[in-house]
Amino acid sequence: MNKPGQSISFSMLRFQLIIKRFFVLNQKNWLIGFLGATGLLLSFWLLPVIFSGSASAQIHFQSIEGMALFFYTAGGLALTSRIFFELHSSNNAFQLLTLPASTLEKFSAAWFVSSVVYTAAAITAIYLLSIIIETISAIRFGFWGNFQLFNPFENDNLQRYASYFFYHSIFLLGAIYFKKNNFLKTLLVIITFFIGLFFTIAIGGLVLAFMMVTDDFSFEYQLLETAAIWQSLLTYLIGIFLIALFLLFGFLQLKNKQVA
Amino acid sequence: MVSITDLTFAFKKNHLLFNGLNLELQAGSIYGLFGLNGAGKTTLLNHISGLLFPKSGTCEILGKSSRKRDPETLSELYVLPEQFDLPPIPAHSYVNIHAPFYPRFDEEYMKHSLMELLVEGDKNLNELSYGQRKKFLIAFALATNARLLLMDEPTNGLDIPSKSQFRKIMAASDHSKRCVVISTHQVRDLEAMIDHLTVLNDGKIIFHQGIDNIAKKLSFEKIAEDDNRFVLYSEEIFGGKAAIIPKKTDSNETQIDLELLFNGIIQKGDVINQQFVREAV
Repeated sequence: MNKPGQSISFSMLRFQLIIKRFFVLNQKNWLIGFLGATGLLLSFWLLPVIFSGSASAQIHFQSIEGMALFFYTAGGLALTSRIFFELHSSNNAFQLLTLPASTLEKFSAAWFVSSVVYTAAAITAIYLLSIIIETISAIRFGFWGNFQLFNPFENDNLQRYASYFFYHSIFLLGAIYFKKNNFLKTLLVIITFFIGLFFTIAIGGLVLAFMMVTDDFSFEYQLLETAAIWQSLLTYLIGIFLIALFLLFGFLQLKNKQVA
Repeated sequence: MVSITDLTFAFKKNHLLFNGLNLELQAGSIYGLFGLNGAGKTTLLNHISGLLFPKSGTCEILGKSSRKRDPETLSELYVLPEQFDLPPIPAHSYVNIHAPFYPRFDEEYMKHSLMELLVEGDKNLNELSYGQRKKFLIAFALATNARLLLMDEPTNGLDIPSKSQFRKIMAASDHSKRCVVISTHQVRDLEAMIDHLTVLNDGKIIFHQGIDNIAKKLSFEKIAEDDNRFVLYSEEIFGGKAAIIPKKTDSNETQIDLELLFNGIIQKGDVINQQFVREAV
C-alpha cells in the first residue's frame, strides 16, 4: 500500500487518494445518475421512433443531443452539490475534516472529479450513446451511410463545457456553504441574481433612454461598437475571473469549516 | 503532545463554554476526561482535533495549531466520535480508502482486532449495528498507530462482552508513544485503563492528576457513621459511608473509586485539590 509523504505542501499521492475516496463514496449515486440519464435519453429517442409509424422517419442522435447536453449540465451540477455531503452532518464531518490531507488537496480533488473527470466521462457516455443510437437506427432502416455521431469538439459543445465549468464553480461553493438542499439553494441564488441583474439593466436602460430623449445623448453608436469588439474577450475574462473567485470562496469556506 | 492555552469558546454569544481553559497532555498516557453532561467534553475533543476553532487562545498538537489541519498533524491524530455514520461500503473498502493516509497503519492488527471484536467485515458498514460500527472504528483507530487518539464515549453502545473486549484490546496496545484521551460518563468501564484523570467543569479543568499520584494522596474507604477521621468527601452507602480520606504516608494504597472521586471533585473540588497542592508547595 502506498503511503503519502507527510509533507504539508501539495502531495499528488494524497490528491489521488482523495479522488479515489470520492469515487468509492459516490460511485452508487453517479452510476444511478448515468444510467438514469442514459435510460431517459434512449426513451426520448425511442418514443418518436415507435409512434411515428413511418418507416422513412429515421431519427438521428442529433434529435436528443440538446437533451443529452442538458442532462450533462444538470446532472453534473446536482452531483457537484452533493460532493461534500459529509461536511454538513456532525456524524460524518470528522471523516473528511480530520482526513490527513490539506484543504487544498481535498478541495482541488473535489473540483477535479466533479468537473474534469465528470465532463470526460459524460462526453464519452454521450459519444457511446450516439454510436448505439445511430447503429440501431442504421439496422432498422438498413441505411449505413448517414452516421451522425456526437462531435464533442463542436464550437457549441465547447461553449457548453465552458458554461458548465462556470456554473460548476458556483455549485461547488454552494456544496460547502449550504447545509441542506445545496442544489436547490444554489439554483435559487443564481436565479435571484439574474432577476436582480435583469431589473438593474432594465432600470439602467430606462434611465439611458430617458437621457437620450431629453439630452440628445450621442454615445449610442460608440457604445455598441466598443461592446461588439470586446464582448467575446471580456465574457471569457470575466468568466475566468469569476470562476477563480468562486473557487477561492469555496476553498476558504472549506478551510474554515467547523462541525455543527 | 497537546497544549491548550487560555482557550475561550462559546456556541452562543455571551455564554462562554470555555473561559481561559489550560491543559497539557503528554505522550505515553491514557487520560480519562470526565465531566457532567454539557460540561464541554466533546467540544474540547473537537477543539483538539481541529473540528472547532477557539474564539481566543491556542490549541496545539505536536507544536502546531490544530485549526490549521495540516496533513502532518492529522496523520498523527485519530478521533472516534460518540455518534457517527459510516458509508454504505464494506469494511475492507473503508480501510482501503482511508488507511493509506496514515503512514504507520497496521493492516494485520486491523484484521486481528476485527476478529477479536467479532465484527462482521463482509457486510456494508451502514448495515452493521451501532455497537458493531463502533467496534470497527475502534479497531481502525488503534490500527492507525496515530500518536494522539481521541475517543468520545468509546464504550457507549457496546454490550458487556464487547466492553471487556475493548478493555482487552486497549490493554494489549502499545501506548508508550501515544496519548489517548477517553471522554466518558461510564467511569467504571475505564477504571483499570486510564493513568490520568482529568475533570472538566464550568468551562475549566478543575482536576488533572495521574492515577499514581491520586493513589498516593487519597484513600478510598468504607467508613462507619461515627468515624471521626477528617473526610474530604463521603457518600451514604449501604451499611456506612464511602469516603475519600487524605492518605497517611505509612498506610497502604487503596483501590481508587473513580465514581466517588469524580463526585467528590465536582462537589468539593477545592478540598480535594488542596491535597495535591500541599505536596507541590
